[in-house]
Amino acid sequence: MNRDEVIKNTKILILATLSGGYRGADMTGQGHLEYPPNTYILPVMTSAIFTPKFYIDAFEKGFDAITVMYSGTDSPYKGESERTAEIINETYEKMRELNLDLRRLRLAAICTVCVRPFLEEVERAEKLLEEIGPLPRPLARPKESIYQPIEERGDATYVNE
Amino acid sequence: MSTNNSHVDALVVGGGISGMQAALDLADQGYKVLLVERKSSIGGKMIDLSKVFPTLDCCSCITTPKMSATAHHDNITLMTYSEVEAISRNEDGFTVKILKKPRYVIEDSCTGCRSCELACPLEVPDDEHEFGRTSHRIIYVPFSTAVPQKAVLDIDHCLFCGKCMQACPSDAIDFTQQPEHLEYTARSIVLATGFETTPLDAKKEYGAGQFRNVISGMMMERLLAPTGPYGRVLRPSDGKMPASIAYVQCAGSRDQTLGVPYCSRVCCMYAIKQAMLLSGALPMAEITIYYMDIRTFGKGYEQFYQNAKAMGIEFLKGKVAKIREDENQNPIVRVELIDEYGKTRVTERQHDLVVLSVGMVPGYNPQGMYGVPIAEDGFVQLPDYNVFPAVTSQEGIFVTGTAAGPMDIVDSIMMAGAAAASAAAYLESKQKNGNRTPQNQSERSVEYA
Repeated sequence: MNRDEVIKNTKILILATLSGGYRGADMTGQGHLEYPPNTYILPVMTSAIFTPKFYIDAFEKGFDAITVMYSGTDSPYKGESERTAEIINETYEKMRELNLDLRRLRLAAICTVCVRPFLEEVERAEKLLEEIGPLPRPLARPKESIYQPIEERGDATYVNE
Repeated sequence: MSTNNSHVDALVVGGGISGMQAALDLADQGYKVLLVERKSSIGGKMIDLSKVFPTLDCCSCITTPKMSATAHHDNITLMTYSEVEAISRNEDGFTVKILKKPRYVIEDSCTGCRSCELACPLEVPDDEHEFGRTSHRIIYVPFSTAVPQKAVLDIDHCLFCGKCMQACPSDAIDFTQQPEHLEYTARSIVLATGFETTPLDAKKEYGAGQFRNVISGMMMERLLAPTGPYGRVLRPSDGKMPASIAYVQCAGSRDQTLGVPYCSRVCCMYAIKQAMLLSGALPMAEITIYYMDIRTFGKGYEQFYQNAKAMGIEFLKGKVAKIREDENQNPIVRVELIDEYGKTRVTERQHDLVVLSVGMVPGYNPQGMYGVPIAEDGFVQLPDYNVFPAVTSQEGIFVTGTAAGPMDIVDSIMMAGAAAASAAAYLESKQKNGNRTPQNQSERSVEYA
């Protein structure tokens, strides 16, 4: 895919923590620097509250790449970085189970003034999607998977496992 | 009013970079540390700066990990928005009374989500971090990387409209919160009370703080910081991008009229650093530094100065006598310039913005409460500075950072190590002499290899 097709046909979700990535994104905007419009930035308090199911559901519902932008070990919340890393590792296991390219989910440390790293991360995701294209849906779930598609689950509530 | 009695090995007073480093150095050795900070977040002055000299590393990127490490360390108890009320000696060391000021937010419940801040209808100027150039809500988290990420309510300006209470998802707002009085026993004390800058209105010749386009070095730091009030460098009076910026060196140091006869050590370097950053932020701007002497004493500092000269920053030797304003609020600097042959001439030059390189003065006088004498310059007196640079004349009380005298960040961090080592040696000697309390011995959690 070329860049225009990527921008038109794919969606990139960015989970940006308020004390890290979201400030970086905010700084980028304040600096009048541009990045493609297929990025959906979701400000979150902490990245440690999202379960693997959240990421799988996000892929299921239409996102082709997800970048978690948090402040790493600089986080004001104790244990956030360790817990996020555990969750991402668990999610990678589920992604392997679903034959998803692991590069579609990425954890990046972005600080409050990280304008250039923010743009680099967005560019990296765009280039990845140019290479591997949008995610084929519905996801090829194995029958024994505990991760049932959303429509079969009957509700849209996300509960911690 | 409530009381509490706990034992700690060291009380660190002040949560700036030096206090945090001293606390971390002690805590890493297994000592229990209580860190008391009077503001609502640790980080001190350094968290407000843009970059550090001479490496031009991001200040926030250096300070934030230290803040997180301090807050998350198992051996450090962090008390923000608190002040030491009284100190008295006992057989274990010191009895410390601490006033915990009410945040009007239950700290254990607050998650730092800022819902209250978004719901609050009132704003007041942010004098603490932004010199009134921007505003914050009445209930607010001090800044994005504040540690702890807890809101604080400015009760003096609050309307008691209750919108924050309605917005808070964890019922953390408590208007009835009262000051708490806590009591600790500390075996040693490390003073890291920091510095303040010379007031902008101290020099009548430089406008006494009345000229809007005459600002201090710390204000320029905020303008240069990516998290600053405008997001770019604009002059305060009309929001214009300044095309000509002047630095007036020794505007609050080496000046007997201000009672500050000493050199503040950092002003030359921060002016050069800011000039270099301004060259990047405003490539077309002319930057002039009026100096008496340029003092580049540290590792890599002289090269930094030479680089600045090579970049086209104009260094003019001469003492600025007076600053006045024209009708467009442009500052006009009257200066006696000294050329390389020693000839002098008096001239007047107009600039868009003038930055006063204000100096350092003591942030706190510990003589009354701690009995630590101060020297002629107002900073803590060090009786044996050459041999024990962090040891005060009071047994068990140590000093670090700019509480001891003007110094830069590098020296503050080095002195924190020295203070922690001195405090640790003191605690060990007390232990050998049998003064260590059994409770503290069992609390010691360090594992020696």
